[in-house]
Amino acid sequence: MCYKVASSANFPLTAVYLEMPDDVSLVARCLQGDTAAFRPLVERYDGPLFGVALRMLGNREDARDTTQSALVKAYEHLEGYDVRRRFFSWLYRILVNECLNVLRARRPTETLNPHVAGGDDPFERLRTSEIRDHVRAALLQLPAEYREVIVLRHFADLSYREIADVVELPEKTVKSRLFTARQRLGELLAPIRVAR
Amino acid sequence: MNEEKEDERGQEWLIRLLEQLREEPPPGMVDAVMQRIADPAPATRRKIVWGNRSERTARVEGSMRIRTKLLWGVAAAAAVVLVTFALTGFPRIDRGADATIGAAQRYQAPQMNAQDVKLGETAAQQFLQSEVFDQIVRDPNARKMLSNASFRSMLQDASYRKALMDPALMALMRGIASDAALHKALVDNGIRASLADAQVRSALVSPEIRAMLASEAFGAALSSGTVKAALMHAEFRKALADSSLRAGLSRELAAAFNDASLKRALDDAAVRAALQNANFEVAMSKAELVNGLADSQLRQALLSGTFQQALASRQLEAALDSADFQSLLAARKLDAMMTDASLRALLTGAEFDAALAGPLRAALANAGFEAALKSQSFAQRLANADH
Repeated sequence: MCYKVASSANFPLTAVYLEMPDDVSLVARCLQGDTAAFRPLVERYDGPLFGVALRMLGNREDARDTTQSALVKAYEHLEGYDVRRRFFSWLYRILVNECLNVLRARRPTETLNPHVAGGDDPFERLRTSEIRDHVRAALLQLPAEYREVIVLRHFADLSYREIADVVELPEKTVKSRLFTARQRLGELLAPIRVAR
Repeated sequence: MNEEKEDERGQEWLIRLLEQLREEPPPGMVDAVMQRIADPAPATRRKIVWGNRSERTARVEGSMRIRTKLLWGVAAAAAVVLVTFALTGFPRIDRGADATIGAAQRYQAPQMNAQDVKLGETAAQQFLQSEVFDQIVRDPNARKMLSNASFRSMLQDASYRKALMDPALMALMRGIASDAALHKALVDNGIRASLADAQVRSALVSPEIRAMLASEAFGAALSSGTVKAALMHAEFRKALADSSLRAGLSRELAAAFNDASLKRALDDAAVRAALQNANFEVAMSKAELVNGLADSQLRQALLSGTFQQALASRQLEAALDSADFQSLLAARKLDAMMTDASLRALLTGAEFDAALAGPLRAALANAGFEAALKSQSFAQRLANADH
């Protein structure tokens, strides 16, 4: 049985909840000592969490380690989870804190690994790497609140409602903020659009 | 979802770009996480196991037992270490450990010793610490005197400072400081100027003057109203400033002041009156007369009781007041006559003394003699007596 969330905007998290055991019941089983009940939760959220970590850390290895650490920490602190909130929102906060710890511990001179993506064609890899660098640089130029909604929407694949829950803002605010964030990002990436 | 798609209209190229850059998590992540969860550290396992109350209580009691055992163990080890140190002595703390458990090593300057203190001339310091100096600086007039440039230059002279430090002079200065009239006289510009003179200073530091200053007689003389009055006179001060008088002073004045008869004479009312006479002052201001006074024989003559009585004569006083006599005194020839040895011999002779006691006294009392003294012809004759 696979509960993995597809990395596509056409298959949002909300759709998963209807077909699979919900997060709260899985958490309850974990708390009762059923360790295996945590696997569906990991399979469901490791993709979005890894996407957020990768955008925050810019390094696949760091993003992988940090995502694993965040998931293990979540398991260890399941007693502190408030069932009234979305489980991903709780996971997201843990992940962000872990990423911040990594960034703080990182030496200032350490550069980000630009080769985030893989691929067989060297030219394609180079082109993708260049685009990735541009996007990363453009994202860093955005204010933090705009950067956050872009990452949650397009790299963590969350819906407006889920983003609103994560950032603890009204859905309408998230909607307008995301629109503005994309506009600004589009302006920053306009040279790439022309080149393509 | 449709709403979200509508919002993304116009930004499709960006959405596609971002989707293109979306990353899949590395393979094996789920297994790695589950492995870490299945094989956690003991502390982690205790946290996540969800047991009943009795189980939780047992876990807490177990942890407390372990903690208690640890505490006893540490206490026992500490006790063993302390006993060992008490028996064998505490280990010496070598250099290098002081920064960790001892006080910081701060810079400590060596203590000063006798070799570090080098004294220069102490006379000035002694004077500055003396009672006299204290009295001087408290007095506004004295301060005014000290502010005088010539007086300051005088103080810079080492020999003068040495003289000032003489106990006798200090005693004298104390007397002066306590006497308002003398004080006033000393702060006068004339006295200051004379004190600033190098010769006066040399006189002051001479052994004779210092001996004189040390004498009780000099102190008594200074305390007499007559001497004070004399010192108050501008002309007398002017005479003091005269170089020839100073020369005489350095030799003879000490002895003169030591003479009891001089003191008595100075105390005499008639002499005092004569001294206060303006014409006498004029006469005293003459250098030659001053030189004459410095002569011991003449001084002896002047000190005789007969001469003093003559001086006390009202007629002589009137004669001295006359314009003719004044012009006579002002004549240079009189100066020469006064310094003449024969005149001094005459004045000091027994005959003159006898004359003063007898006929001359009567003559002085005589109105005719008085008129003669006042006459122009007498004055001229007197002026030409040696020629």
